[in-house]
Amino acid sequence: MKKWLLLIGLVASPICFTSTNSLSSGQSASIGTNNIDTSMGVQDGLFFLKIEKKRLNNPRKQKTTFEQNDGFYISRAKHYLVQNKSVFGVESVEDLFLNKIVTDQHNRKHVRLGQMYHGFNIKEVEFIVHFNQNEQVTGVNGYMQALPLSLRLSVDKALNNGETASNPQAVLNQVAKDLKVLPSRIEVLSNQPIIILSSPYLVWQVDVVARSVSYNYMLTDTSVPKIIEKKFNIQP
Amino acid sequence: MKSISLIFIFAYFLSSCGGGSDGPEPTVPIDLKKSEHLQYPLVLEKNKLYEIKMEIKNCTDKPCCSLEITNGSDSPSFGINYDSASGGADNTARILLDSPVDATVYAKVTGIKSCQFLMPVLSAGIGIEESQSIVSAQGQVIQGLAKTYSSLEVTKIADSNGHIYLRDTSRRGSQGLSNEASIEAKKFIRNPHQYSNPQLLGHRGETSSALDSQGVDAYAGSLITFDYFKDTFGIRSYDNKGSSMIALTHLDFPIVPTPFCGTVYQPGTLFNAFWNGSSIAYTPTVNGRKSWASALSVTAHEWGHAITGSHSKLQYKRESGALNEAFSDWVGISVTQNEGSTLWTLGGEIGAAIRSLKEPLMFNQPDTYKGVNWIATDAESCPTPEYCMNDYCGVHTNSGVPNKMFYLLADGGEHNGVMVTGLGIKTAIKIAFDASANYWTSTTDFENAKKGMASAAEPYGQNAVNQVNLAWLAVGVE
Repeated sequence: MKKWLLLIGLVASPICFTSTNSLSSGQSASIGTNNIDTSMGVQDGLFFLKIEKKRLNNPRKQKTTFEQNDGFYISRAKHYLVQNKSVFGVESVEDLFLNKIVTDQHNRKHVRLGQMYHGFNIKEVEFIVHFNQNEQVTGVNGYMQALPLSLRLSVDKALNNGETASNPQAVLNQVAKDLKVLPSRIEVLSNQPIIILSSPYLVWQVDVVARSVSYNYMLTDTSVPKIIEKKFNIQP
Repeated sequence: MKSISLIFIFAYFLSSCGGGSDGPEPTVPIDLKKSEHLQYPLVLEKNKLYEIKMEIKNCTDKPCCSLEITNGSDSPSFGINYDSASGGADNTARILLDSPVDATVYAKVTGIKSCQFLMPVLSAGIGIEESQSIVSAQGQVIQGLAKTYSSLEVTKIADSNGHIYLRDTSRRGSQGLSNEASIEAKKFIRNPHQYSNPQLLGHRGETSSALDSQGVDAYAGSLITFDYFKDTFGIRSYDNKGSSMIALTHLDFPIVPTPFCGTVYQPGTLFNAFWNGSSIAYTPTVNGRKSWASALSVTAHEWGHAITGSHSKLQYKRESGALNEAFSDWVGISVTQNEGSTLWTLGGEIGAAIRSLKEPLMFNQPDTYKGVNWIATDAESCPTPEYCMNDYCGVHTNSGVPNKMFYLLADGGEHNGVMVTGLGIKTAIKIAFDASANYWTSTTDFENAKKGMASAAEPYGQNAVNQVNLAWLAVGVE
């Protein structure tokens, strides 16, 4: 635990971090949430994890299809972060969602997890939990920032029973109108509401390709979305 | 429903009523006015390739008609390789299409202006093996010499009028025509009457000598890059999901009149190559400058952006953006050197070097962190990362620092008093790829790039880890 304590002081401000700590043998933790009871720990070098699911997690962002393949590592990664919430600032496994799980050429697993609030992705926040061939966590790196209380309150206030004011089609229609093309002629790379740490609003982030050029839009989450920002998204 | 639209769905299938290669071809011209359209159902068998062609009559001011494949609505038919065409030099619109499943799609003919055509004809479907051909094809003439690809793999529909298509059908593995890992070059064709409705036409020719040289370069470069990614990184296409690798040539950029730095640039006045989030694109040869499609290092560079977009998603601004640019340069040089080049310059193989990994200072880039030529990236110095005014806070300039690091890691040498023993470019790029895929995130800066690469180097031994740390130290990243 000493190594973790050394890191605690680093998370008071936005940071990028890399750690190479592992749970030591004999260390364990129990975590209870509204939906899941788990126990986890390390015994004689082997990591154990028991999960009892009471009901489905928030269906909005949980990518359950991914978890069917690599659920063991994904669950372990999520619980590892929550178990060390003093370092990583994650309160619940429900706040984490899978971006990707990769087995590298050396047979090591890397689990990329994003963080969300009320089911909405928080832009730029991503953890990568690394496992060795023995299924042990060997490190975590990525970028995190505690979600300020003022931002939480602002987002809470903007949401109507947890729902956005706009929807993907309305947002896309505004983008199409700006680009002067039919919505059906736009290739949508992503279109989702997100939380930006530097801004007290829920916004829609839209990445599209139109006429072979890509654009990045930010729009307000209002019944009639308004464009906040429009950028070329090409990379020469 | 738009009042100008006229929609007829023909209640028969072309493939069973004379559309096949052994049936009679329809000879009665059909007339459409501007914006009118007709749709013809096409029955496709799973995992077969087809060519649909349509002869256009009495068209003196091209284009008169367009032909495209749809799912019956305005939307392209997803899962079916989508394309569109208007009559070329031989007044025949052709589209190569395949389907991963048994499906019915529609050939949609639209009058661009007054349009007269013969009913589209669907060839007999053929399997992968029958469609594969090897040809010798020429790319652009560089420094007086035509770049020749002596064994270019292409697709050819084996009927009596079979055309060669710059499209790969051999890299799909056991999954057959699953619309995965299709590699293709397409040509951007402006609609002179309407900016908002350009076409993308699959590159094709009656013979290999008739193929467009820019398309040949773009296609060949993408094939080489695909194979390199598979052999060196162990990934299938840039995202390891077998996504299609589409290279667009002749892209008139900007597409519409666009303000940059206070000047409104007319369509087609900018010269470049870029990754657009789903494909790579090249502007055409202009003012004596050959399309960047002829430079393998540039093609691989753009596909390097595709790797980044599918893995670390490095933000394209400030230090993460410079790292994004540098990683693409590393990929560009690695692929080119794997083909026999010994150069460390982007574009150097066609005599148009724009950056050097070995000597960044020669191209006004820094070779040391916050040293000469460094562009400040902090929010105070560069408050608004932007394409035109500041190159997203110096992404194409500050990339010189990680570029120099990569050169040292690959080839070794002393820099700023630090001696680095080179690991070889193949090991260096493998470490870099592992870091990008598994250790870097969208906000990784140079310091964390170093840490990620050190972790990625562990399987290569302690010496590799040490050299990674030394290479970054040599460029001032501690």
